[in-house]
Amino acid sequence: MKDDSSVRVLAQMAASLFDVEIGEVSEATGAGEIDSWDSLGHLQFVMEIEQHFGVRFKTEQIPELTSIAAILAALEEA
Amino acid sequence: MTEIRAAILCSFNLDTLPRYLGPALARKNLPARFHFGGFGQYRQEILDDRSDLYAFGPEFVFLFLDGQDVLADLCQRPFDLAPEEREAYVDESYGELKGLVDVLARRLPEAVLFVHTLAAPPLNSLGLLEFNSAFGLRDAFARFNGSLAALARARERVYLLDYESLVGYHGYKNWFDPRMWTLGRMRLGRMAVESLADYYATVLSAARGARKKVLVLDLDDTLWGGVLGAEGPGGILLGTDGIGLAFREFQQEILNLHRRGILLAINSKNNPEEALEVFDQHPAMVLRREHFAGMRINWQDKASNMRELAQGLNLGLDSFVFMDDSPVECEWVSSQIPDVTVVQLPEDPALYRDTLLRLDAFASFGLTEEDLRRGKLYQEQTLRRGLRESVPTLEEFYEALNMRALVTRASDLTVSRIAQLTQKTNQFNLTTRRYSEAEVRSLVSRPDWEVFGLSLTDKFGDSGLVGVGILAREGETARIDTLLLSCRVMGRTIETAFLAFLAEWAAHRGARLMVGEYIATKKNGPVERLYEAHGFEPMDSQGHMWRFGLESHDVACPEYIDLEYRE
Repeated sequence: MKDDSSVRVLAQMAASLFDVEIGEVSEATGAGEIDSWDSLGHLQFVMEIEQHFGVRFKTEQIPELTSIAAILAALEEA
Repeated sequence: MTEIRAAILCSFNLDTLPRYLGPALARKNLPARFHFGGFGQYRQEILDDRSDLYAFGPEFVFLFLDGQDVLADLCQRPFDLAPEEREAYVDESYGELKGLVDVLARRLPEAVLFVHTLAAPPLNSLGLLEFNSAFGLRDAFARFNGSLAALARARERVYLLDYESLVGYHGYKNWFDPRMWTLGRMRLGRMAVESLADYYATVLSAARGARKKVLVLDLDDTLWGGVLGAEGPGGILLGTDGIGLAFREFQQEILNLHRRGILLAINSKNNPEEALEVFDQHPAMVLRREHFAGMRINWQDKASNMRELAQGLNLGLDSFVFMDDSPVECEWVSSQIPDVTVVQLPEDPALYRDTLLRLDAFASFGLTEEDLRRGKLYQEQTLRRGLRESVPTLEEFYEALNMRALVTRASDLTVSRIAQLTQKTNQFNLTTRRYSEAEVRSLVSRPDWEVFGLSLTDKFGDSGLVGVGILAREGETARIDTLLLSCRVMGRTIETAFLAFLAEWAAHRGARLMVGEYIATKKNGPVERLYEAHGFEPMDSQGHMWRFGLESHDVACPEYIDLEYRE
């Protein structure tokens, strides 16, 4: 599942949800670098990802998906 | 429109809602500002007269308390309470809510209050004990909701939101997301938050009195299955068998709208006499002529019909909803009159009724006596007033359709479809000559005869072979033995393209005169003047035979139809 297009989709989602420039989001981006990627933003982001990719993460997995790289890895497993 | 000010108070974390609520309201053109109460702080906000809630000064307040919060003890550990204790617990919880409602009503005397009913969790500790033991969870929720309903009826500005039905429709399992509860004290999953936002938009729009007043309907494949002009009154699908039942139930639901004061109207391309005969005489019709405040059954375009209906009823087009099965008609009407709410019916008629029920355009919180009488009132007015007709130009619309007409000579691949069209086509059929497949084959083999098929593609897809033209060469005359179009593509000037082709084809092969025939039947009224409209001259006084000089004239193919001929 991990490919360039997934990175692009995630960057787009993050940019629109967290109100940042799409160029600011890359595979290396994590929650610490975006102010509005807080706990609420995180759950919303996860919900959008689940909806878009048709996946469902486990509860314990969700708090750990705090970077684009971690999300890509989880999508690959799903 | 002035900005709506609404406060939303919830018993759990609903912070995910704002993201969806703004867009949901924007879709309804309702500008709004919100105050979202802090998670779990609804009591403090209501009780503290210096809270942000009162500073905000809302005109609408949503009070969304979840049953699992309000009746938490009962939901979490029902067996710790004896049946009498459960009952007392419910009454106590209700008493607290009633107290809050009273405070709100006192401090915000102008505000309208929307209170959610409680949805009993279908998955709970009782299992089979539900209803089989004293005062179960469902009894408790029913008692709470019953008290709430009595309260709302007694208070002028308090309305209930039937949350149980909202959850039930989408399914409890999809609505609640236990993971979000665990991680963020949010009860709702993504779909639920989005649906709730839409629901609140509906509620606010209804509360603002923005509901629509008129439902305008197509006939063929909308109120009944099939094309009346082709199948005849006996052939349309309507009744208690098969797909006919879906149309009947759809009609019943439309009638229910009429009964609660929504005006009904017809806007369709049919022969009026034929359609009215169905309304008056078809035994399976639920809707009858007297239920309609206006009828535009004719061959003019549906946007003009809409305008005339609005004029006749003296209502703005923004209070109209139009339902049709055809994407072409839907697009045409919405492109011409953006104010009209256009609803394209789903492909499957079994889903028509649900589509209508889900439509929130007619949602309202109250029914007045006037609502209940309105349908009748308007019908009487319409009867008194004659409606006039007008025909505007449609060119831009045709242009946007990207129509491509391909004419081919009949071949093995097409003879059976051509024969079928001559058998079935009634409305757009100049001579109504019926040919079997064998007869078509024999015409094809005659050197002085030509059989053409016309196929149409447009932006909505490929309609397949929809037209037949048969020419008979008689010396220097080319006689149009047959010219027909499937009713699916009527009203798009395909006939002009077809005639242009036939004229050019005949002229190229040395014909000097083209002769057209019109043989009147009960069904083919719409094409009575076809030859006249294309510059043919009458050869008799009955409008039966028409002539067209090929040396001096030609028929121009409409610019917006891309006409191609392939051998």
